[in-house]
Amino acid sequence: MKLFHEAESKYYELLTYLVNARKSFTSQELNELALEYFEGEIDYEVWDVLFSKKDGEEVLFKYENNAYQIMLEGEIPIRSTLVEKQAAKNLIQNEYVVCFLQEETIDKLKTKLETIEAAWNESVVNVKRRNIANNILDRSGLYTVIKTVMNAIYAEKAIVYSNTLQDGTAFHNVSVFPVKIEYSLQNDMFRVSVYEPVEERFIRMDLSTMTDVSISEKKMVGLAKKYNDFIESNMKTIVLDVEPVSYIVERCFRLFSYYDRKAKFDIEDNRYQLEIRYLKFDEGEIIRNILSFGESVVVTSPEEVRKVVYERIKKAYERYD
Amino acid sequence: MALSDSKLLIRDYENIRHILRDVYMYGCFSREDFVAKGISGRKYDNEQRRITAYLPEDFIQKRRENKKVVLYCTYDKKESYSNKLAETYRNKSFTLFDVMSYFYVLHILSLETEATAAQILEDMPDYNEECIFTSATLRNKLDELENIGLIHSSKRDGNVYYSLSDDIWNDFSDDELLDIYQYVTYMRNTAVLEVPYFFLQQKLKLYMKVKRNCNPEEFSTIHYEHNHLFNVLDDCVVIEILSAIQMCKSMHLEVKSINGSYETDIIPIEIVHDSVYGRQFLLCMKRKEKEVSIIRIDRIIRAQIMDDVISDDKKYISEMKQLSEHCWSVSGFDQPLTKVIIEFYIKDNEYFVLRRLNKEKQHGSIEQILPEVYRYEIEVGDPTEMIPWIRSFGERAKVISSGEYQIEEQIKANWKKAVEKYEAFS
Repeated sequence: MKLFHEAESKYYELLTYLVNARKSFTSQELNELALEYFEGEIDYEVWDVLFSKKDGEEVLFKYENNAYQIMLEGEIPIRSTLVEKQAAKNLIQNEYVVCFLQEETIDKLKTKLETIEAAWNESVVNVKRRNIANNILDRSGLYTVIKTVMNAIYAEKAIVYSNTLQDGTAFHNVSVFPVKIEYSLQNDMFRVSVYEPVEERFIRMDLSTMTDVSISEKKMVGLAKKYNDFIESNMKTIVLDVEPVSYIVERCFRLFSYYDRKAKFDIEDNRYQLEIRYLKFDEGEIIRNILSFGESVVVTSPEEVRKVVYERIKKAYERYD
Repeated sequence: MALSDSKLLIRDYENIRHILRDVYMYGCFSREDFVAKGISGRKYDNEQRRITAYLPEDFIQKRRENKKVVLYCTYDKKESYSNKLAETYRNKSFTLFDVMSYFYVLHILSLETEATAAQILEDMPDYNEECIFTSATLRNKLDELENIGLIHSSKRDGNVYYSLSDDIWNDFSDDELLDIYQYVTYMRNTAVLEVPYFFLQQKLKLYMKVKRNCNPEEFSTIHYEHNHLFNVLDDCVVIEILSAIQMCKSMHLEVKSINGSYETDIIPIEIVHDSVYGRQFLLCMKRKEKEVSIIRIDRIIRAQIMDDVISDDKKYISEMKQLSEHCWSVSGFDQPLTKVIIEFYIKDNEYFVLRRLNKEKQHGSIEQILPEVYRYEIEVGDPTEMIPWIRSFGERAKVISSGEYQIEEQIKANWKKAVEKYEAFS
C-alpha cells in the first residue's frame, strides 16, 4: 500500500476546491488561495503548467478576460481513497472511539466501511513504556465532557462542573473558563487548562475527574491571548552539554524533540549543546529527563537548576556509597 | 514548461526522509557536517531546497553558527495538533496524464451511473496538445484510479463498466462530521501510523468546506504533548510492514548500515514502539539464517512485500509473537530472564512519585516494605535497558540486585562521574 501518491497532492486538493467553487479566479486570487492551502512555497514550474495562459496548454482552466475560467462543466466529486478508508476503518476499531463519537455515528461508520477489508491492524504494534490509563470503562463518559469543554472554548464561555480529587475532597458546581484541552501521549491523560476567575489564575485539571459538566452563559473574551501571555511569562530556558557519543546524542535529542529547542554542534571541539525552552511548571519532567542521562548530560545554565540537579545527583550517589 | 521540469516535486519519498529527520531532530548540522557524514553536497543542496519549499517558513528556518549555515525546525506547543512534517507527503510528482485523468474521469463518472472505457474516452478532453488520451493510456489510468479506491469496475456482458466509489460521508450530519474530524485529528496525533489519518483529515476538511460550507479548523481542537513528530517520516515503511503482517507475507528489505547498506529477506513478526524515545523496531525472522532479529525502522531504506509465508514459518512466527513481552523495551528478547530489585524512597507527601512508579512499572510489582520505602521487582531479558529509567528517579531509587548484570555498579559509577563533572564545573 503506497502512501506517497499524487492523489493526496496539495495541488489536487486546491484544484478540487477551485473547480467546485464554480467561479472564475484572477491570478491574484489564485496566489492568495495557494498561500492559504499550501504550507510551504508554490512550485512555479508546476503552477505555470496547471494555470497556463497559452492556448493548447490548458489543464482545467482557460485564461480569458484576465481571469481563469473553468473548462470542466460540473463538479468534481470528492471521494476517499483506499488509504483514507483504511484509516476510517481503524478509527472504529480503536478503544478511544467512545471518547469522540456517539454510538449512532460509530454504527453508521461500521455500516459504511463493512466491505472494506482491513489492510493493517495497529494492535500488532507493541507500544512500550506508554502509561495507559486503567480506567477504560470511564472513557465513554469522556465524550460529553470533551465535547462540552471544546464548545465552551469555542464560544469563550465558562463551564460548570463537579469533581472529586484523589484525596477525596469533592467540589460541586464550580465555574471556570476553559482555554485549552491537552492530551499527553506518554501519560494517556486528557487535561484542561482553565482560568479560575475568583483566584484569577490559570490551573490545569484532569478531565477524567470532571462530572456534570455544562456550559454556562458567563463569557470572557480575549482569554486565549491572556493565556498565551501567561505562558510566555512563565517560560524558562535551560542549556545542556551533551556528551558527544552518538547513541547518547541521539537519545537526548529524541527525548527533548517535543520542546522548543535550539542545538549547537561544534565540529572542532566535538561538542553538542542543547538549549531548551520550557514551561516552569514542567521543570520536574525536564529534571527527570536530565537525570536519566547520568553523567552524559550536564546542566550548564541556569545556576539554580544546575544546583538542584547537582544536589539530587549527589544524594543519588550517596545511596550507593 | 512541463511538470517534469519541477525541481521540487519528487517521485520517491526516500529522497528527503533521512535528511529531514536529521534536520528536525538535531537542527545543528551545516552542509559541511552532512558532507562529513557521507551525503554528497549536491544531494544536500537539492533536498534542503525541497524541504525548505515544502514546509512553512516559521517552521523551517536557517541560522548562522560559527560562519556556517544550519537548517533547523522549530517546535511550537501551540501548534502541536498539526505535525508540519506530514505535509511533506503531499509533494509527489505527477504528469499531465495523471492530473487530467484524475479530474476528468471522476467528473465523467459523476454524470453517469457507470461507463465503459470507450465511453469515458469519448468524453476525455483533447484541448491540451501534450495530453491526448488513447484507449491504452486511459486504461492504465483507470486501473490506477481503481487501485487507489476512487472508482470501481465490474464485468458484465463481456464489457468492463466503471463507476465512482461511494460517497461514504454523505449520510453523516455536519455535527457528526465535526466529531469524526476531531477524532481523526486525535488519531493522527496518537496512532503509530500518522499519514493515513492525516490524508483522511485533509479530505474531510475539503469535503466539509465544499459540500457543507463548514471549515472544521475554525472550531477549537485538542493539543498534544510528548508526541515524537519525526516518526511520521517512517510511515512509508511502517505501513508496508503492517500490511505484510496482516497478509502474512514475507518482505525484502534494504537497510542502512555503517558500511552503506545491506539487503535481507525477512518475515515480519511485530513492531515495537518505544514511547519514551520514539524509536521503532521491527522484530523479524531472517529467512536465510532462520533466526530472530531486531531492525531499527528508521534505518530501513526500502521495504517490499514479497510472497506468502509457508506454514512451517507461520508456526514459528506465532511462537515468536510476544517475544518482547519481558523486555523493558526491546533488548534481551533472546536472553534468560534476570530479576531486578530496586528500592524506592518516597515520602508520604510525594504521592505523585508513587503514582508515577505505579504507572511506569510495566510487568513489575511494587510492595511497601517500610514507611516511605517501596520494593520494586521485575524480570527482564536485559536489565541494562532499565538504567535511564532508574536514573530518572535520582536519589529516590537504588538498585539492590540485578544478577550478573550488576547495573547497580554501573549506576553508582555514573553518579560518581556526574558529581565530579558538576563539581569541576563549579
